[in-house]
Order: sequence, then structure tokens, then C-alpha cells
Amino acid sequence: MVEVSAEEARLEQIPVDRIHRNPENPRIIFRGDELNQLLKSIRIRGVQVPVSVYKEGSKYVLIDGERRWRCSLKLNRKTVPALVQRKPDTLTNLLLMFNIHALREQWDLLTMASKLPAIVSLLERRKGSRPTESEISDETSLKRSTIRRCKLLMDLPEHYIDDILTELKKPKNEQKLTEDFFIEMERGLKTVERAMPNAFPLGDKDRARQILIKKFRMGIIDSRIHFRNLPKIARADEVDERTRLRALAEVFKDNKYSLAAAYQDSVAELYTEKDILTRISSLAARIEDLEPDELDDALRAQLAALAKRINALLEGSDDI
Amino acid sequence: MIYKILPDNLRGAADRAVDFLRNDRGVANFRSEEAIDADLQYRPTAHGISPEKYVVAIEVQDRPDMAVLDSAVLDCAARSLPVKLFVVFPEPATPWPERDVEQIHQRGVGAIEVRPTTPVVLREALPLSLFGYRLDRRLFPRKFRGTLLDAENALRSNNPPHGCSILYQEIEDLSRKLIRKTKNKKLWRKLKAGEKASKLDLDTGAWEKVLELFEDVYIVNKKKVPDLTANLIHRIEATTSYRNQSAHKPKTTQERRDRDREIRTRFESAADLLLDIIKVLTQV
Repeated sequence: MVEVSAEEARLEQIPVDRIHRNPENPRIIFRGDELNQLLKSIRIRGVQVPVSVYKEGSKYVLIDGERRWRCSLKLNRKTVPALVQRKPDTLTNLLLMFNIHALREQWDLLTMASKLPAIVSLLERRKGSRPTESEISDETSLKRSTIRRCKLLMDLPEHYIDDILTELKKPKNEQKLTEDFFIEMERGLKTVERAMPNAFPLGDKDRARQILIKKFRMGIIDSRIHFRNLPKIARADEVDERTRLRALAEVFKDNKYSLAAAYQDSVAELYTEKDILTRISSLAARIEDLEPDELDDALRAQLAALAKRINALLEGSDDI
Repeated sequence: MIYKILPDNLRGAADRAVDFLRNDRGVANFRSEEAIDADLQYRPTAHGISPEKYVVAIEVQDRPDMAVLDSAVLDCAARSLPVKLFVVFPEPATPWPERDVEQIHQRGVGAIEVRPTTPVVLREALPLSLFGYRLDRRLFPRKFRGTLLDAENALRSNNPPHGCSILYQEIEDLSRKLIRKTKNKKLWRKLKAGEKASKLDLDTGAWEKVLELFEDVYIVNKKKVPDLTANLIHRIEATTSYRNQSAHKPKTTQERRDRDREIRTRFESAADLLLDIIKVLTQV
């Protein structure tokens, strides 16, 4: 973890106009609807929590509190309470913001993802070797799962990053091709790439990606959760490979074939069976612990009905 | 222009709106994200000064809404700041509902949609210095409400003094009617010996003269018309001087502010006077 020299900071009222945003602040999108809430609060109660800044010449540079500063400026406040700290070096400056922001509020993933390569590179220079995921996590206070999600985003071709940025500028409820959409899709595509790379049209993963995005936009894929069917199909070795290949190849074609249909046509039966097996095992374990005198009437009746259905099923009777 | 807090994706729209107001309406001295007034709790995205000495301000947003502006509008109106405020937003893929734009206009704020070819003014901004006037049309008999609406529209348009003129005209018509009615009902005092009746035509004679005659020569029966007081007649007389004043063009925003404040006061006073005359007319 980065050390923040809070003891050396002093609290001052500083002119709003002398504050400048931190060029290293990963946060680049400030949605109007989110700012408006804070604006109302500051209009009524003022800035209750000081911003953090460091002094550079005659100006102050923000470390923490960009939204409070923006609102104060909009509300034409003359000064804002600020903790004035010593100027940090580039890496500390970046890590400070990750530690302050990432722990306190939900940043957009892309915000963090865009600055992670710089952090990795600066950490590498400092310690002389490439930092592990665990070390990055310690320094930035980000969970390792979050770092992996960031990496999925940063591995996307650049034009998709632009698409996400455009989307992020919209109010949350109007966003369609979200970060989560791309993360779900990329996870699925990554598994397919590893398990069945020949399922991609002409071996082209990006072509498959484009088709999936198009189908999502058209509503043929109506939930990003359906991307979880991709690894299920790709990894279901119990099912004939040709069946799975056919389903995936069809999904990656420009047609109306959905991911739900591909799942249904290839591996649904297998996963239904697996699901039933898991439930039976769990039920059997629970029944194992029961004594006959512990059964009340309702439970006894349910078990009898279940036994009857199981027997009928095993004997091949239609009367179930 | 240089913006500190305006999101990057809206900066193009802001610059184009500024250019439009500069070239099409002669608004000059634009500044970005600076205070209009030291005590106003609001800084617009940009503001400049129009040839009529109004502060023309724009608030650039991704959609037409008033979340940031409601209290700013109230402050401007309460402090009689001569501000015309526009919400500026980029043209969306599907047009914003008409009611969203209209709701903005109901609060005195204009709307500019920045289209690929040119910005388009969907609603004109009203001078906020005049916007907070006090007038309740429901207090007036129905037949006057149309005139009052005309007066309000004129006040909020580019010719605010005309709003007062419409009310003054109504005051003149009604006061002539009142004087004639009191005469017909024989509420005037009898002429003294040797005193000659005035030949002044009550309908076409100069209004000031008719009022002077009414005040100085004739006295109505106070018991029958208790609200027709000397004070009321003085108030009517006072409007005649305002009515004939020619409006000079304000040279500074401070002059514009003083002028608008005066017009707003005159408008409210004229409406109050009109209501009082209507009340007296029912007594005659």
C-alpha cells in the first residue's frame, strides 16, 4: 500500500479558481446526473469534506475531490476547504488516487484500466521486475478479480474502447454496450479461443466479436448473461465435439441464431443432467441425516410422492 | 474557449453555440465558466453581453433539463439580474420530447439544439430580471385575462416596456369609462354659481386633462363609491407620465438591471391599479 503523509497535510480554505484537475486522474467521465446530487448537497450544506491538493507554483492540483471542486466552481463558491499535501512523485500520485478513490466509490472499470499499464510500468521500474497481480493489488487496493476485469478491457482493440467511452458518457440506465457486456463477452470468447479455436469464422476472433455485438444490438442475444453459454459449450467435453462446433459456428454467423438456441441445441441436456445429479446428491445427503420419527406429515407426503415419481421413471412408465 | 469543468464531449457544442450567439445576435465578450455576479450561486458554461446589455448565458448539457438551473433562475429573478439563459444540448438521435423543452421555457430559460449544420433556437430565453414578476390573472374578471396575457407575453419578449403599455392602455380605457359612468350616474358635485361646465370630451380629450378635471373640479359621492379615493386618482395620473416616457437604450448591464427592475415594478403596479379600477367600476 502507498503511504499517505496525512500528518504533513494542513487544512486551508483555498480559492476555487486556483485549483486545477490532476492530469493523472484516471477518472475522465463525470455523469451529469451523478454530479447534480452532489451539487444540491453542496448548495445547501457546503463542502463538508475537504478536498486534497498539492501546491505547484501558485496553483493547487487536486489529488482527491474533483467532483466537490467541480460543483463548488459551478456554484460560484469563492473558496473550498482543502488538505494541502506535499507534491507526490508520479507513481505515488497515481497510487494515491487509486487508494483514495477505488476504495470509496464505484469507479468505471475503464477509468482504472486505462491507468493500470502506467502503474505496472512504474512499479516495474521501481522494483526492477514485473509486478505480480498480487503486488499490483497490494499497491492499488484493487481486488485481483478487478485487475483481471480491467485487463480484459484493455486487451480489446482500441475502437471498442472508444465505443465503451461513448457509452459511459450516457446516464447509467441508457448504457447498452457496457463494460460488463464486453467483460462477459470477452470471457466467453477467451474460453472458446482456448478450447475450440476453430469455431471462429475463418479463425477470426474479432469477426466473431463483431457478430455477437451485432446480435446483441438487434436483440437476438437479449442478455449479456447469455455469453456465459459460450464457455459452457466450449468446455462440455462429454458432448460430441461436432455438435458443439456446429452450434458455435452457427452463433458466429450473421443470422438470427441466438446463444440461448446454441446452448439448447448442444449442451443443455448435459447441464440439466449435471444439475439434477448435483441436486440429488445434495438431497440424498440431507435425507441421510434424517430419522423416521423426525418426519412430519407434510414432509412424509412429499417424500412419498417423490419416491413414486422416481420409481415410475426408473421402470420406464409414462405415468409420472 | 477554454473550459475547466465542461465534459470533453460537450465542448464542441458549447463553442458552436457561442459562435452562433456571437455572429447571429451580436453577443460579445464571452467568458467561460466565470461568475455572472459575485453573489449568484451559479456559473454558466459561458456568458457574454448582448447589444441590449443583457447577460446572455449558456448552460451546456447533454439533455434539456433544469436540475442545475432551478435555483439559479430563482436567484436571478429575485435579484433582478438582467440575464437571458439558454440550455444548450447536442441534437440527439431521437428528438427530446416537446414537453421537456417546454418545461424549461416555462421557467424562463431558452433552449438551443446544436445540430450538425447549425445551432437552432427551439425556445427563446426570457429576461430573468423580468421573469419573477407578481401577477395572478385569476384575480381578474375573465374578459380582462386575454389582455393581461398579451401584456405578460410582451413583458417577457424583446420589448418589455410594451407589456406596461398594454396595461396603461387598459387603465386609460377603464378610467375614462369610470369617469363617464360617475357623470352619467350624477355622482359629480353641482356647479357653483358662475362656474362653467367643462367642454372637455371625456372619451377623446387628452387623458391627463380628463383626469385633472375629474380630480380638481368634480368630487364624487364618497358614500356611494367608497373605493374611488383621491389616492386612486393620483395613481392613475402617475401612470400618464410613465406612459409618455420614451425608453432610452441602456448603455451598461447595470442600467439594464435598473431599467428592468423599474419596468417590473411598473408592470406590477399597473396590474394592481387595473384591479383596483375594476373593483371601483363595480361600485358605480
